[in-house]
Amino acid sequence: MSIQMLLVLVALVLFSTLMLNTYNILLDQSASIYDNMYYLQGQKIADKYFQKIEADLLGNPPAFYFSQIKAYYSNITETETVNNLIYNINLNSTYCDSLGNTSGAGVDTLYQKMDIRINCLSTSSDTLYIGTKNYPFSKIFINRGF
Amino acid sequence: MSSILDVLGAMITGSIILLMMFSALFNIQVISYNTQLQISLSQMSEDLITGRKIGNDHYLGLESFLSRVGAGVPDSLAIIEATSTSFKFLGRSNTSSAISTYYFVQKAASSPLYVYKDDMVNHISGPFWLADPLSLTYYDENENPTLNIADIRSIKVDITFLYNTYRSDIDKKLIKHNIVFWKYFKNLYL
Repeated sequence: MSIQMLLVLVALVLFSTLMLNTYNILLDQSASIYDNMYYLQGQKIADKYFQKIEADLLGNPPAFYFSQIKAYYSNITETETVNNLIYNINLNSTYCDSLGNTSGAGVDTLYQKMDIRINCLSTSSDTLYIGTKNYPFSKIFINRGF
Repeated sequence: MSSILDVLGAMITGSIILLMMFSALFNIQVISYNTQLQISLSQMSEDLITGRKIGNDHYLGLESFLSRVGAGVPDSLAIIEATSTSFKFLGRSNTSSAISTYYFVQKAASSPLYVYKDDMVNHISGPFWLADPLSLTYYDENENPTLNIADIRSIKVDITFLYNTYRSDIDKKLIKHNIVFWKYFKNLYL
């Protein structure tokens, strides 16, 4: 085999490595974009629960009393399937003060903080966390007297 | 003779390598273009749902329209029509405005989604071409699906937007973006 042919083969191998690397980067980017779509969907799901609780607390009398919301959403897990992807949702409500602090002298039954964290399977088959234990989606609800 | 064979061999090998290079580069271009489209589609979808600002003009999103269901209207009159592909309701934009009729509709499976306000001929938003038919699901106070207008308290909107991909003759597929959102009609809870 001539030296030229060997050089061509070496060039081919080097070029293939470059191409593989480029493909890999592109596919990583695609996976990242799909994961972001799941993040967005996860936010919509969290918003659904916040809306539902707000609606349940409206009315005179409301569909659910303030203390019932606190009791029901005490570290419960629900699931929501969107586009064949299962989202596992954890909801936890705790009494807090007006700033959302769940411990301290200001905590009473006037306010409650709802924390939502969600996880699902990402495109790379890892678990995708949408809101975590330390950084969940949170909203503070006030007791309107019911 | 051997030189000619060498030249021919080099030409064939070189051509194959060049073909591989161009093919690979073209594929990379297609993938990156489609990825870009996917990002644009997600952005457009979010603009449509939550609203957007272009220059000094604010365009309301579907969620904003849906939050007006029953605003300033007796509960029994709030919803006029509720099917899986259309939703017509009454509501006010603010406390001083007149009551308006809003209509979300996909008239046929192959038709786009339009949004009308008062004038049922000239749309205020759309057309939005969807990959799958619009899917609207209504729920009562206890989260049970219902089509009984008097019982409706919330809606689940399932939309799949689409773009045509890079070229129609190769890698023919649609870029899709499916999003589901919920809206609770708080005016009907009061």
